[in-house]
Amino acid sequence: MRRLSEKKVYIIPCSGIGKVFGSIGREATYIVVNELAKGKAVLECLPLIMKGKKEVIEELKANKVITIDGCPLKCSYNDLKEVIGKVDAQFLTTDIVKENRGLKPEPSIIPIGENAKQLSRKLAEKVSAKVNKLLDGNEGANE
Amino acid sequence: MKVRTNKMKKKVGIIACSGEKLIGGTLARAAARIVVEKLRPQKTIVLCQPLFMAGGLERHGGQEERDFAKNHSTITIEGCQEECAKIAVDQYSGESAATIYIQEFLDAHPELKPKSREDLGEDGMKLAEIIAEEIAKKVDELFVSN
Amino acid sequence: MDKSLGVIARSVALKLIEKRPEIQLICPVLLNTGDEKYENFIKSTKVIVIDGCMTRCASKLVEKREKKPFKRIFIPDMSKKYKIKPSKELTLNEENEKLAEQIMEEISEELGKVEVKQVLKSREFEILDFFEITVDKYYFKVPKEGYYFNENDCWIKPEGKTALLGISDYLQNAAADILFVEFPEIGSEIEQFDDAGSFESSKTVLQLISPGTGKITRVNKTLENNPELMNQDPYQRGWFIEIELRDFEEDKDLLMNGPDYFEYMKEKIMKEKNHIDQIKSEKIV
Repeated sequence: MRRLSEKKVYIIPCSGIGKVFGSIGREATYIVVNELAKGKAVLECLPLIMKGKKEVIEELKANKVITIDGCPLKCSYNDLKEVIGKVDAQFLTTDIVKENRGLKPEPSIIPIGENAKQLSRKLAEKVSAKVNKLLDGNEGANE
Repeated sequence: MKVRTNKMKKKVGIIACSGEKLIGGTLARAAARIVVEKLRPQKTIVLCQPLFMAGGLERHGGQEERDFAKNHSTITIEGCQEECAKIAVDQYSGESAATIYIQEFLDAHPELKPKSREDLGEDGMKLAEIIAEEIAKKVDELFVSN
Repeated sequence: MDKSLGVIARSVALKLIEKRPEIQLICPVLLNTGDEKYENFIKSTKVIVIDGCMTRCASKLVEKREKKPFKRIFIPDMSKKYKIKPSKELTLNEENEKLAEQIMEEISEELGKVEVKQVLKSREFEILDFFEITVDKYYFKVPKEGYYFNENDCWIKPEGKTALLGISDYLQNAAADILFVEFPEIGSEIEQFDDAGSFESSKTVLQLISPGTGKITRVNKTLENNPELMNQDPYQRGWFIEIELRDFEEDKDLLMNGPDYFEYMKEKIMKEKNHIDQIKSEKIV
């Protein structure tokens, strides 16, 4: 069994490209894994998980998992629950948008606009705080 | 009572790899958006891959993506050799009409090196445009035959 | 359930819902699986947690959802407060029963001071039969019976002396993801075709144009935390407001029934699609 100090946190964004909210989730994931929680958090491909790639699924089961979804359909969260049976924390991009009413995201999906970038940063800060909590061992139970 | 709007030629569905770990995924998504927004907006529609994969369960709402793919031609854009988009379409809706492999374009254009998976940069976007043009040609072939 | 304190906690909850039927009991085991109904409900209402022991499972479940409980009950503290020492048996004996009753009364009294109209069970909805049209990858649905529509794509569903109001599938699709709602004041009178609140998406702000005349009696508070229900289930869980009808027979003259609205909606969709395709063609040329 891995010690808590060896565990990683996997971030799985939904990566939808139908709406800007998927892009915000993706951008937030990059900020977390490249900057705010570098070395502690890594990202993984949702399609590869859904494809059933064994080594990927085993890794996820052995570590902590955070999903970031772009809309209330929560594809990443629901898919992960189904394939690996657990999600340790979940985030919804639209929640960040609701909390920051003055920062309405521009509709552009690729590339995202300035407001969307700011929202990504705010979301990333929340996610990285959760990464630290999960690795501290204060939150061990599943969502 | 369902009414099908089949008097016009049917649009082509574009499903891009939604993988996040590699540059191929980012290129696939960028190329898809260029095709759907700029090059062939009236002939194409983007199908959201995560929704497509999650569809079938009532609460997920991806059934619309799958039903569309059953009744229309689809083009999948693969970011790597795993072929996740193609496998998903073949499994849930029937064989895709065409598949684009990003790696082939990366190999054919070594002079256009994308900056990173997070930010394609100028050369990466040029490469995405080239890929999008190829996809657009495929769309034209499929749109006429629909 | 493996300690007497847990049994007492359960008994408090059961007594409470018997005395206050507007309160809904939440199964912690089901909540822990991420059941969507409970997840949404918790977000939209006040929550009371009752913990039997130091593990504080109920509190942890709620805090994980980043929700601050309205009231926390910790059975050992209550035992000291009421000077009733709980027995160790797993059945409810006289002492344990007495303690549970005291705690229940305390919660009930505190709730009496709070507006509890929000703490309501969710409505039960019947299964609807729809007309459907598919355009590209989008489905548009219109209930066959029971709903009436205005030309602004808002519906009214009479239910005796009252009626529910909301937006059509077409309108929610046009609006895209709805993020915020603003309700009109409860008690205010509205005329047919008045503004009856607004909803904001990432794209735009739209008004609900009332198909009916009457007094606003209820608003769907769930939408404040879950506005996406207007997109996901526009004809049932996404209902917007309820009004007490003044004269629906008169209002009906200016409304369309399901079949008529379906034809109207189809025409609108096809016109818009052709128009958009034309604009896109012109842009390329």
